[in-house]
Amino acid sequence: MDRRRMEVRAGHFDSPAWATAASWLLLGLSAAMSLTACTVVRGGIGDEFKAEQLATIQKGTSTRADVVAALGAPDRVVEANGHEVFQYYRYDIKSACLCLILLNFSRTNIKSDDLFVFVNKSGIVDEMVFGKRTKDMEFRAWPFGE
Amino acid sequence: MERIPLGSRAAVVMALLMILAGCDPIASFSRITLNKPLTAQEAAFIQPKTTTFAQVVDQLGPPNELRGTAEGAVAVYYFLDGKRTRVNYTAPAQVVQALVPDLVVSVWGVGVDQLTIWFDDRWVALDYGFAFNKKIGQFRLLPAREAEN
Repeated sequence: MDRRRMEVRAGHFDSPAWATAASWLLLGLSAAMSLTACTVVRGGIGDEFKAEQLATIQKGTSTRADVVAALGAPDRVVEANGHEVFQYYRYDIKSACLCLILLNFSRTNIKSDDLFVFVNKSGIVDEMVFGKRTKDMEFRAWPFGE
Repeated sequence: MERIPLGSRAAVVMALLMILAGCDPIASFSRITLNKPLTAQEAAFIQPKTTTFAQVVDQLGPPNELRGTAEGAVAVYYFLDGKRTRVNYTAPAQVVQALVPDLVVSVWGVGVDQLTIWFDDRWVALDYGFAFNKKIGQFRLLPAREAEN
């Protein structure tokens, strides 16, 4: 029996360099497998409001027809305080999951952009209110904290 | 004591991870948030019969909903913070014995909160109020345990 076989039997086999490298590669792959399914999902409802679209609407001059031509039909029409209020909304959804083998962490953030156009009884735009909540929204998988 | 070769150790680790990859995770923590949760402090600037709709929009952004009322209008801000905890308490035992049944405990808590502001016919605030369900939206490991304040 040669020396090499004897060392294997005794449990003192000295691995050649290629075997050590392969073992480390295997361990690296094992570590990578613990991050098997990190997912990032993006969704939304409605189109983004473009600055040039909003710029076409002028208080005191734009008509109901101008608003509809620029932004399309509103998502909701409400009557309040003698005004017809057109509401346009858009939702942005960002979701991320850190799906480890033994533990999963996921977080989904949903924010809305809302635009209200106040049309008076003469059909002229009196006021416009717009807020873009979605601009600072990030993909986050960690569910704890704020 | 015999030294286990690195290659064998790597193979064992890999095999263990491959077995575990087919299992449910032991625990999952999920959270869903709608808009930025508003606090009572953030709404404290609203003074009945003084604060206007424009000032409210300046501070809080546009509402999510606007409705007409007999007195004027109502603006509603919606926000939500939902948390889900799911723990399989027998998952560690399944690594050793695959026939151990699942003992999955899952707790959902969805607190849909809203801030409602009433305005008169001149768009001046009349009153406001919160519908808070914040204590429901907590990570909990056992469903029988009540949410803490």
